Amino acid sequence: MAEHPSPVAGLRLALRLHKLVLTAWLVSIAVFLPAQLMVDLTTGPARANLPASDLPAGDGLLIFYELLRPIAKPLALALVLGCVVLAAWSILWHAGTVRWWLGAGAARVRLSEILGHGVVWWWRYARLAAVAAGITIATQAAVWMPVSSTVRGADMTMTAQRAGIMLLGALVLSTAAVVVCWVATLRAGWLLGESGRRSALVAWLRGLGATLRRPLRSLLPLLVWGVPGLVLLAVPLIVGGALAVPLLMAAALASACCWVALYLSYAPREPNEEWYRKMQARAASRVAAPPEMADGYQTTRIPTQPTVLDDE
Amino acid sequence: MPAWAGVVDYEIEVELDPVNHGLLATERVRWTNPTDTPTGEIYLHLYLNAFAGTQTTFMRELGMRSLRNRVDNTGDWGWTRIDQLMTIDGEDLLPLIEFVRPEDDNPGDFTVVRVPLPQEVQPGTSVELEIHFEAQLPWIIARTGYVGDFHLVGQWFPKVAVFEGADGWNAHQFHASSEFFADFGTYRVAMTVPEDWVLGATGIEVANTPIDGGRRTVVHRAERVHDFAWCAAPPDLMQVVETDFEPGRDVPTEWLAKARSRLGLSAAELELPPMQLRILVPVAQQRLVPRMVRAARLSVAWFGLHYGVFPYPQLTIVSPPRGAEEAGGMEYPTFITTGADRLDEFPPFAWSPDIEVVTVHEFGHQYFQGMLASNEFEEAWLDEGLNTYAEISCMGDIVEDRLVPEIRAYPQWGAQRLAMGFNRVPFKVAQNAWDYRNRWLYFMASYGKTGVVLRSVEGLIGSDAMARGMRAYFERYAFHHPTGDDLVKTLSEVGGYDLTDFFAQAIYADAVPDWGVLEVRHRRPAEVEGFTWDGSNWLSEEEPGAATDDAEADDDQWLIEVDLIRRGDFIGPVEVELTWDDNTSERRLWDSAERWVRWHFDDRRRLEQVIVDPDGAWAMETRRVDNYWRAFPVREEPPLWWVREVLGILDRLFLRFS
Repeated sequence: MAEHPSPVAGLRLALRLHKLVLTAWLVSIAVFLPAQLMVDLTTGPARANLPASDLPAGDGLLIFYELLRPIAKPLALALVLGCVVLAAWSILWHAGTVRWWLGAGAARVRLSEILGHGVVWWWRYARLAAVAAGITIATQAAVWMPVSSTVRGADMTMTAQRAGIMLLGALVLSTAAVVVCWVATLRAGWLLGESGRRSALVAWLRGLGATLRRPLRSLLPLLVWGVPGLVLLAVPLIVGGALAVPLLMAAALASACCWVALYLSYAPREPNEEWYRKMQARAASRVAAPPEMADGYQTTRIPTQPTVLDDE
Repeated sequence: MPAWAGVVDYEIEVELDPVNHGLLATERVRWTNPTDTPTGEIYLHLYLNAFAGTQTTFMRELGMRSLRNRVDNTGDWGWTRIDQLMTIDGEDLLPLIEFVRPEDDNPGDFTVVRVPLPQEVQPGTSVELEIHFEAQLPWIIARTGYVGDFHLVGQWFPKVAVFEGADGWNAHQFHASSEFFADFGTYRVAMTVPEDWVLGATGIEVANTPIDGGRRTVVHRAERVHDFAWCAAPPDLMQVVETDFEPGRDVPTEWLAKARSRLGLSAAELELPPMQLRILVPVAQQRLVPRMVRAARLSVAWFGLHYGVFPYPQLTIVSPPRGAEEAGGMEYPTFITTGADRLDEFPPFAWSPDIEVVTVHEFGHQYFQGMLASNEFEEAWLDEGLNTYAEISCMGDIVEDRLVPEIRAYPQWGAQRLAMGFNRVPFKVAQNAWDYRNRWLYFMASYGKTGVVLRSVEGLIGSDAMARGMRAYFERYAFHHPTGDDLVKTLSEVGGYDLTDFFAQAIYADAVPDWGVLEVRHRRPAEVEGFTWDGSNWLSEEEPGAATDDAEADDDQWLIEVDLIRRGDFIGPVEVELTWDDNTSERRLWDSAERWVRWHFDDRRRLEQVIVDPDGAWAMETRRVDNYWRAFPVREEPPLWWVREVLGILDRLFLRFS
């Protein structure tokens, strides 16, 4: 595990994995395309009939509701499915990237190989995502519930200034908790790839430990890639108009690059040779063992044979 | 005789048991027969019995669902028990009383009691009864009861129903979807509570006497009111803020100008008197008091300017403490409950208009139901609906004039219209509160739909005429029991437009307004061919003098047909705006008596845009998609223009079949 996350190294790896970036971009658009098409096809013709001037109070909302009402269920389904597919895809490429980098595959870049690794380890990383989500929700509840309860039920001894400070403190604390959980999860993703580590919770706790040991270093990639990744997605919404669609495409591409770079910023500087050697040894022992000695167990699964360890 | 002329006067002495949340009371009530019909009976409401158990009509109608913020405290039921009932002459009537269930014959309901009288009460004469009763307050429900040490005591005493002469007594059980109806009178209520507790009540305090046992008796007197409620809590929970409404300071000058313009009255005619404001607020919400006071002052100013003077010397406002939210948002004469939360001090909660909305709404009830005492059981729309209309109008002025700068957004009519749009099954507004298919429809009909209907009346007769009509309604029927007919009559008369048909469809039936542009066609005139009539003979094209000889189709001329349709069953006049391609526009009125109409135009201009009801005057119309039509480009087609056309056709087909 790299002790010093590096945004620059993250970007270099992301550029090397440009096919993954492109795929992430296309998937992020494709998953919401059905919903987008549904809305456009349904509302487009009616919108074309609306005047350029202001509509009477409430008409815009009524018209939008009236148009979307008949497709509400399929639209909701499309949106939910889009979110589910996006989450599943994110877990897939996160898992695949870890195994690619930590394994011998680091020597060469094949998208299919990364995705194949991702499929094998998908469930392990899904557990990590669930752990991270659970812990994030729990920390938010732990921050807001007592503060809200204290402020709402306080007597006159609590001044407005004190209540305000409490709420502001809670806001800062909850934001910090989100950031720490996020970074801890990113770091845990790489720890979970280590050989023999199967517990998502333990990996997450170790990721948290690594984050807290070097908080500023850990935070740096998030500031460099995570924040722009989010901000970029908001740009088309702010600009709007005729440029909204091309802008959205460009912003989504840049954003996908940011996300991949963010994750890879936490990657170890070098592939984990020890892990690779263990894998190699395990594979060799399986191949060497006669079938009857293996208690009836036969396998054709042989780890990818490395060619060169020197990737750069 | 007028309803306010002392039909029923109460003198009540009540003591609150702060530990067991019980009441022990003696009530002397004098009822005067205001009609020309004698009666040998009297009906009393025992509303607290609605909370006696799961078998009451109220609880059965409520079902398993929670009522707003009620915390489920099973077992903390409420009830009233009459221990003694006699005439002032000492004649015991208790053995004669009979519980009646006029609506559902539910044997588990004990909210209406019939008391046979020893002799008939002749028109204009009175009967006096003395009632000793005991009551148990429930865990807070339907804006009455207790939470911890906070007590909101509403609908707590045996209350006389309304006698309507030949039509008999108007007495209804307590339903889950209904409020109340009673006659005006004078109340003198002596409330005994722990000595250091704060107390707020209908009317004004006329005596405050400490008595033994660490208690004190506070006497309130209220005149020309039809109900009495009070609230008591310890000082570490609630505090009292005494302030006032001073018109010179609290009436916004822009509002005075608006009211003068809308109503055509002079400043002297719009003069408002000062009054006291008494606010009971939880200690945790102290910082919100300035906002509450401002909301109350703005309410008094707006309603006073637009409808008439608030004639009472004091208004009491209670903001329930945390946990007692169910007590919030209720109206009693000169006594209202609102609602707030300490978080409302801080953004983003502070940006919400909730404090103003609830204060304006509940104060509005001082007019609609407080003074205009319509029958809330049978015509709930007359108080909730008219008040919703007034509330949104008042809030609109508050937001427009930036009088509460904290408010960032207020949806005004948009939210009400959208809520109306959610409903796809037509429903009638004018029906008994308990006859609606479900409680959601009761709320929709009584609040939102009536509000939107009145907004449509405003669109129809104009906002100035509407303002004058509403004021006239108040001036004519304050301290009476007005009905829907009285409202229709007044608005029609003042607005100069017969609204009988409108209300017959909008309130007394379930008609839905929905108009649209069905089709707009442009075509060139055809060349003149065939025979022409010269006055005596048919001439062929070849014959000299035939019109077809020199008749050439005018290439610049368009024959235009505009088809409009009435998809809904509501018939009414609707304005249509036609905009031509030279940017000129004209407006026409369609009475929509027929299902559809075709308008012909022979013009060199093309129609660029057609809008049915361009100003949104018909706020009731919630299906607005097809109200708009715009010409697609004729010569400058964008790439794949046909896709758009096909989609347009499909869209129209879809709309036709929907």
